[in-house]
Amino acid sequence: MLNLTQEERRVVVFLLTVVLVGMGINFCLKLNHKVRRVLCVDESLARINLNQVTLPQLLRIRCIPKKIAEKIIEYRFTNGSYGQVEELKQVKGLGEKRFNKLKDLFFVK
Amino acid sequence: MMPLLFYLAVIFCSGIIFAAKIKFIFFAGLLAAAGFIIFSYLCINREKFFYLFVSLAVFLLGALSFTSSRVVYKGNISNFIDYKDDNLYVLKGVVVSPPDQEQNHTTFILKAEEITQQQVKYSISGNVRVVYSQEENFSFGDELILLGKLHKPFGKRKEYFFRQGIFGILQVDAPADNIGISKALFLQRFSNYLKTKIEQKLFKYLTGVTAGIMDAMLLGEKKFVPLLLNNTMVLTGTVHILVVSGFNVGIVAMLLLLLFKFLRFKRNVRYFIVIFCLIVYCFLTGASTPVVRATIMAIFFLAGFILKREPNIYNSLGLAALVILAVNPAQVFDLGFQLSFASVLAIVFLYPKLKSLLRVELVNFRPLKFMIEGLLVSLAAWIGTVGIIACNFKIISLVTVLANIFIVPLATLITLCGFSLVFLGFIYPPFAYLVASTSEFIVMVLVKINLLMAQLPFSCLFLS
Repeated sequence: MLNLTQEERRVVVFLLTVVLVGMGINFCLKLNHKVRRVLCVDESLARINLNQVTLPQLLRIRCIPKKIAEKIIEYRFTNGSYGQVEELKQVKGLGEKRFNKLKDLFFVK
Repeated sequence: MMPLLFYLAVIFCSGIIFAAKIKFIFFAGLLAAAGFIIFSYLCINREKFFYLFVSLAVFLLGALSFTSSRVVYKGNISNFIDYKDDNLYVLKGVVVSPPDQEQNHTTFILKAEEITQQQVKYSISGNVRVVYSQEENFSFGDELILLGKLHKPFGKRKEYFFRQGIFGILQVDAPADNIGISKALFLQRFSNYLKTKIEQKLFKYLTGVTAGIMDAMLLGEKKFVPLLLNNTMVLTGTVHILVVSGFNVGIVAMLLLLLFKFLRFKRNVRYFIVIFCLIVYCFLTGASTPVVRATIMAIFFLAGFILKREPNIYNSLGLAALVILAVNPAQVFDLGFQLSFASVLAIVFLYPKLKSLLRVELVNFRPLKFMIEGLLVSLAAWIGTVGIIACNFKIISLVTVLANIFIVPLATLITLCGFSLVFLGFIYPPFAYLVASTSEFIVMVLVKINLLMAQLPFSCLFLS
């Protein structure tokens, strides 16, 4: 018999639990694909909707200066909602370099 | 009595800070240090005088090492270039950092060996940061010949680059000439190979966001972590989980010890193999200050087990600081160094005091006791780092302690799942898919809790 310490036994139990939970999740996904939204990471959690974001929300993002944040919101009020993320290039003060840095932050819906 | 190595590390750091603030004359300091060492030998039987002279000698050694590190060799590349230079230089060197491929360009650190200036070749030394204007598949250890504009770092990042040992910035537009000889050490090549294989496994079994977070937590590679997520974690004070540190090193050590125990390796043999594996892991994760600190501390503890001596955490911390500062004294001003050591010191010092103050040992209900202990560790770390973070980032996260109660256990589970996933990915892929599903779920919970915490009123204070 293996002489496992208490910590080592916990690791064994952990591995068994992880495999069991994984089986359960996979089974649920096979039954109903819509369950994916509840059980898995949705890409939208890591992005902001450009047409719903508020100025305070933009100001909390460290790489967006205040003037740029105001211009992004101003563009939306002036021209209506964004059709695609690439429209950010039309915002005054938002150059190619900053756009490349920020484009993964947003999605449009 | 203060632990010796910790005490020496504090004195050594003081010497570095002293030399940084005043104009320190190297040779005068060298003579004074020699004098103090002689006095300490003469007073070897007189305890108080001995420690006094040793302290003064170590203090001056710190000052001398910092002063010496500010002076570059004659053949250093910084003596051949200027701050603003439109000339084209041909630079030959070896890639000494994993190339970072971003959109339309690749950046890496090149250890310069030869520079051609006005058709004259010079042998040089020093590291250069290369910005290569195409996406190219360079590898660690490749020997390259590059043509581009070269200048000294200037502006706000000048001091940061100097501390990292980077003396020039090279902008390359022309195709590079890859000589094709790998000059990396075997350990470095092996670590990079292993890192690539592990990343492939992670991205094979996990979706984008989860794989990015797992890549950061296991391998210290943050480039795939979504910007919004990183930003939210900064606001909630939980971004430390995306940095490979002592926590990860501890898990690696524990898992490896368990594995070798299953394989029936003898006790001391297990410890030696784990020490080697931890050194490989340190190289694999980029050998950043927190990882180096944690690796040295882990080796210190494992060595204690081998030698059947009780390890002292303050001495291990002191040893880690001395090793890092002996190589690069300017690290004492590096934010990563400060945060890493401040957080560990605060936990080690404050946590037992908070625990006895609140009489946690009287709590009988184990889950509640576990939660309170987690909260106190978080609080101790927050107290130790809040000042440094406020000064540098102008932000005070008020929700950190609360967020960490949930985030840290989840991060533990994610790290364990990640290592299990990688291991099973190599050994038995069908189980790896199951572990991947569980990992996705736990990461989803972590992300949602983090977003929720960031949205709480007064979750953080902006100081500017």
